[in-house]
Amino acid sequence: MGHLSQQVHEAYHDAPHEKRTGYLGMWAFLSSEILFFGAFFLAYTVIRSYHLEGFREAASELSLFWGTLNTAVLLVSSYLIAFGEKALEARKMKAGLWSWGCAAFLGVVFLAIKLYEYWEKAHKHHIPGLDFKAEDFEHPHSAELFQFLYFSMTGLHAFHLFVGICWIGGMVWWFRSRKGRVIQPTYVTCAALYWHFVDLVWVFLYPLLYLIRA
Amino acid sequence: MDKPADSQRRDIHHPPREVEPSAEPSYLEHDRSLKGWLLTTDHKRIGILYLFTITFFFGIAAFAAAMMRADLTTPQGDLVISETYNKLFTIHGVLMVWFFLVPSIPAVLGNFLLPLMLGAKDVAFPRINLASWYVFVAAGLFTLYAMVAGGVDTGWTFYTPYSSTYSNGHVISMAMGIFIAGFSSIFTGVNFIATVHKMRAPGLTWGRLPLFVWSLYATSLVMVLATPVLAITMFLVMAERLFGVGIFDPALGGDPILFQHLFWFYSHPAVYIMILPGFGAISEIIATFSRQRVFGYSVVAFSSLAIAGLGFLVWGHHMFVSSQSVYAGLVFSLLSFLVAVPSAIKVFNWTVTMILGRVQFTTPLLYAVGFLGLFTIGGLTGLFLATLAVDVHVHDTYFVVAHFHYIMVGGMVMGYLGGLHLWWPKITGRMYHEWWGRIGATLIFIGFNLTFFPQFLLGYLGMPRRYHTYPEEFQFLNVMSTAGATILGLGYMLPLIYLIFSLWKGEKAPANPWRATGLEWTTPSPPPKHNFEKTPVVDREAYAYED
Amino acid sequence: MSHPEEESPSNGLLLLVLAGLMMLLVVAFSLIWVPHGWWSPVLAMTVAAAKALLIIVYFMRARYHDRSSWLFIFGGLFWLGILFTLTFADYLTR
Repeated sequence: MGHLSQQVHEAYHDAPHEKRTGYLGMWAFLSSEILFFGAFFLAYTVIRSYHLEGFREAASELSLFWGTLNTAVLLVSSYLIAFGEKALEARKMKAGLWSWGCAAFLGVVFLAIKLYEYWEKAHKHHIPGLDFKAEDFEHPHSAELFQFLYFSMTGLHAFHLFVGICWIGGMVWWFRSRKGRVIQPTYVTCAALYWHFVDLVWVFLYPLLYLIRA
Repeated sequence: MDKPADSQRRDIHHPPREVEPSAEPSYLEHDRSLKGWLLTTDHKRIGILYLFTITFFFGIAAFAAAMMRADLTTPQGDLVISETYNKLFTIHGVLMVWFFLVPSIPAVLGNFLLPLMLGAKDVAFPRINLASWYVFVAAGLFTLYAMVAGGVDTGWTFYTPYSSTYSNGHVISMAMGIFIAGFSSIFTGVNFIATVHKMRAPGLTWGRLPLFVWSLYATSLVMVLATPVLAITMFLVMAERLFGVGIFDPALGGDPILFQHLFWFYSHPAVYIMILPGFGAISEIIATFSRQRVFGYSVVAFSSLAIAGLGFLVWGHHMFVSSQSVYAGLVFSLLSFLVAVPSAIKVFNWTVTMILGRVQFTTPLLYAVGFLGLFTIGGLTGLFLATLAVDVHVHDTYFVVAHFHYIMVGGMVMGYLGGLHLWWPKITGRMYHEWWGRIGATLIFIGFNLTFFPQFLLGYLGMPRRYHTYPEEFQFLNVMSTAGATILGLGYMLPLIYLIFSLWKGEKAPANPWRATGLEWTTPSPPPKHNFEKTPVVDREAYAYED
Repeated sequence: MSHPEEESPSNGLLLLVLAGLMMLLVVAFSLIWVPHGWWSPVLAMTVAAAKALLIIVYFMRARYHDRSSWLFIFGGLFWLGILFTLTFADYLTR
């Protein structure tokens, strides 16, 4: 089993220096990601202000059960990542890898639920632009805009989560298969930060899309 | 300036010549294979890769500009039809903005110099740095495909609903190119931020950083915080074209003004992505050739950050004649005026630095002096445009075209070329021909003014931009402008020729040909692969000139 | 690895944070039965912000890192605030 290195890359003074550089750099990237999703939030807010009625109507089509369950799934996975990060740093490899593996699995569960929700929409012919049954709605234009924003925002989030699953899963695979090889602690820090961020985005998408239906 | 003239002459004509043999092979000699270049994580080589790439895009974009100017020589527009003309200015705008100006100083000079100036071995994330170049090339391919496959006629601003509904060009491919190019910017920005925060040599405190580093830091903040919004905007335009869902289409319940808000939230700060690194290069040039610490160092450094911050608060001044609310217009107008304050502080401080120092009119300094004049004109005409009532008169005329070319070409390109000359000996290890350099700088200054000053007059008289025909009475000024563009084109060819020539025939450059301060001058020219034989320790402020 | 700033939340604290998050999730969910009005989106987003703060401060260890990281942690949110404020300065005064 591989483990965290105590040696540092030649460009850095020591391990904490390297780790803190990774932490800061990752946050600089995440601040960019905040505005990436933020632009969508702005578009959502502006378009919603024109189409209050239609957005309410379309939002109440979403399943509260699946949305809430998915939120819980992601929150637990985030906890597992935080717990696993501590364990990996303390060189408790087994505990760390198990909790990261479970977190990645919960990520897959989230995506499966999400795909089921997409399938349900496809089944009802509620795919904006491609296959949209306007007569299901009192305000078809508004509902289509909502569906479009729903699909793009959750789709972009799902894509991020997919990257996160590959990242976390890849690191677990790496640790297990490379016997005696080492990895810089900064990679663990960055992977964990990324996963938490994906969770963070969902924390806002959940009320925006599922809960605000009044 | 009060020293005898012959001491100045000695400084210019007798630079230190003794080239000490380096123990290590330079970064150029280290691994000469193609793989050694394409898979390199050395920040210096990545800078060179960017140099080739952006010069290529500059060439295409400049050719498009030449076609337009040639067409505008006669009022009837004899050379191309309207549609071709629209495609030409779109190519020119898109390539110049995203594929030349935005990456020019940060990705070429910044990549090369930032670790050297900080006394570091490399940037914080070398592999992401290499990835940024590949992403950039991929973005370029999408954009070139859109051009070759039939072109796009929306202009570089992609205003909706024209771009999303009516335009029949290859908008999707070009928007995709810009979407991807954004990630290259973000990677560079993230890298520079982490590098400046965490990779400084011992003793190199924030107050001792060269001003070039400060300006790169401010630029990186803008890149990281503004670019993602552009990416989403382009995503929405693409989605709207593909699926016909109208976030920006009023006929489908969307809002075209939302596009303008999102687009200018990026594209106004992007102007500062383009100009701030130019400020940094100018600070270095003026300090080096005035042999004087930049007057008001901390104020100049802080004004870079202030411009980066204020740059995010003014985007609405592009929308005075859209249906934006008048009250928002007032607020944006007022905030726009504020940007003039830190910009003016910089210009005053550079001027005072030159007055206090002993100025040597070398090639880079000629570029810097040209920059000061042109940027001041560009900045002051910006104040005209920030005034609500005046803007209504000159909006979408050649006045605007002249204004932003004074900032971007007169400012940024002068800064880029000046910086390229200042650091050319460090980058290549060769000296360029000084007299040809001065002739080039002078030609560019004259050609630039002759091209764009008449456009201020044209715009004020009412000639709209983006038209390929015009009334007869505008012909004289247009012919002047085309004549100027010809001189400008010659001016750009000169550095290209003598800089390439210097690679074979130039004198070998010593470690510090300009007797400048700064860590990058303490290592051999060209630097070895790991920059410094041992990590330098800094014990003084920047620009500690003693003579 | 024993740098004083390198500390991380204890396992107990992490569990506590998870419990807090779950509680906030229940609160957010139960808000749909509260009478609706202009405040309901505000309320829902406030609960989301509270959840986000817990994640940032403890799971993402903002509390255990130096101020230069905070610049970026809250910088992105601040800039998002600029985007919203100035855009709505237009929309709300039409």
